[in-house]
Amino acid sequence: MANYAIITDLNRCTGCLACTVACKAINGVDVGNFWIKTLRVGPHPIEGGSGTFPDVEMYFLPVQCQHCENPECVKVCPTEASHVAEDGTIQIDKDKCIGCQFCAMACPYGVRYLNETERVVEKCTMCEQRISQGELPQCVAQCGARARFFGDLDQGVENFEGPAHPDSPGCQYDEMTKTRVKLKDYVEAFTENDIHHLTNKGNDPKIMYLLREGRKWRE
Amino acid sequence: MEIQWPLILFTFFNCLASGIFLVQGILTLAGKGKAMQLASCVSAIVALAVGGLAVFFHLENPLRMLNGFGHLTSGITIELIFVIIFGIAVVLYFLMMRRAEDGVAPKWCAILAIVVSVALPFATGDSYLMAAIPVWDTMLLPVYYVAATVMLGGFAAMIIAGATKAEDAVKLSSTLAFIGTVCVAIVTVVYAVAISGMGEHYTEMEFYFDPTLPDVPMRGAEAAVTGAIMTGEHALAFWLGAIVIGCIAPAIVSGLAMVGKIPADKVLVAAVVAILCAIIGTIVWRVLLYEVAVNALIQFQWAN
Repeated sequence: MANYAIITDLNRCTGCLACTVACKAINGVDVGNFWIKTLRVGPHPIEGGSGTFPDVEMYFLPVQCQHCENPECVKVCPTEASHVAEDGTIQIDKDKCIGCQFCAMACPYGVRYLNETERVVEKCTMCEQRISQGELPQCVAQCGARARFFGDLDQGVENFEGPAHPDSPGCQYDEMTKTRVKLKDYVEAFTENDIHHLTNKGNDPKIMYLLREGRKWRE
Repeated sequence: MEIQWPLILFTFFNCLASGIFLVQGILTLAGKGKAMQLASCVSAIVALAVGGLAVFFHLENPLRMLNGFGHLTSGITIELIFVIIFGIAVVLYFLMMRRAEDGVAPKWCAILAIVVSVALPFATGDSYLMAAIPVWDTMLLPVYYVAATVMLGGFAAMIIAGATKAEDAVKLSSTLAFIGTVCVAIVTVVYAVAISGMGEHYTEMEFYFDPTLPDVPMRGAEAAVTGAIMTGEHALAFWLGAIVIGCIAPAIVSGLAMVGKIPADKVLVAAVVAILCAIIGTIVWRVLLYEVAVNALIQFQWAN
């Protein structure tokens, strides 16, 4: 089966929060809760610079469930409500969740929370309802900067896909959403060293971040 | 992390139940405490039940446990197994005591009591070991729970001995209470020092901003975790609550009782005062462990 993940080109991300808002809208995430948040990292002084503007650097960091290879949330779940799905994503079977919240404690990124209404833990599903039908996760589809790309790690990150730039198919929304571009064809060149992950606590996060030389990765 | 009171009470009552049964096991092995056996068994089961009740206030859908609780890599499942084994051991001790001609449970029951009473708090602590929360991810946590078990068990046994007129158990109980309290003091201080050196486990960003929490100041490991307990915002609670009230006061009482400096008719009152201090101390420390339970990506404060 597949091994789905998302990569965000942080050199392109403008911190517009479209991913955050689009996710909440399509997944019905309650007010005050988030499945994806975007942190501004910096501005930090550039090494060797004056220490003040304009010798500073910063980037935006969208953080969601990292759909880890060795997820701690799955290990601690007593009822197997949290599980690795066949497509490699981490999902929660809400009918099995007893609400112990140990998964929320065990997640190094704190991206899980208790849904007070349903009394179960929830988090990013990578838009399972969409990707199972061949669509892009909503955070990828609605990314305002065309910075997010989705795909199967087994097919190589360079083949991850995002929606095409509106100018190439034309400005019709339907046409645009059905047209895809590949990461390697759309973003500036990068190397393996430019691909970063959030702090790994043995859980091997799969979500990737592209930050090229010249800007310092702070994780 | 938000303080989870039901879990704090659950772990506390687990330690109390285990401590009562542990000390009864040691007393039985030493040929003492015959008069307090029944009271110890009942107290241990009641404490276990209260702890179980507390955890039900934490679980959002506890009845779904019936659908399946079989994920053996889960610390909670292992903990539940040890709770069940502990309950069975207490009932077994009680039945064997009633069957015995001399009214004393056999030695193997005493050894079983000691083993399960150490295993339960250890399993309880072990279930909280998770790499995401560096201050919990240390063997000091289960070791602390075992030490607290000995301390609470010693003082509880002093009270039970006083209430059941089991005078032969007072000296050994107070000795165990003293040893347990000294161990708690040592483990607590070592634990606090260890936490102060855990800075490397946290992602440090000098400057950041979370647009969903615009009025929340930036956090760093120094203020939130490593410097918070011994010298920071929790220093008063740590030194006064966990150390002075929680360890020094009970150590003095148990030490005096151990060397016979407390009159026999005052032991019960002294033990009640001491266990109240010990309870304050252990609850304060457990609360502090939640206060500094920050995950690796310290800059993110989600809705939870």
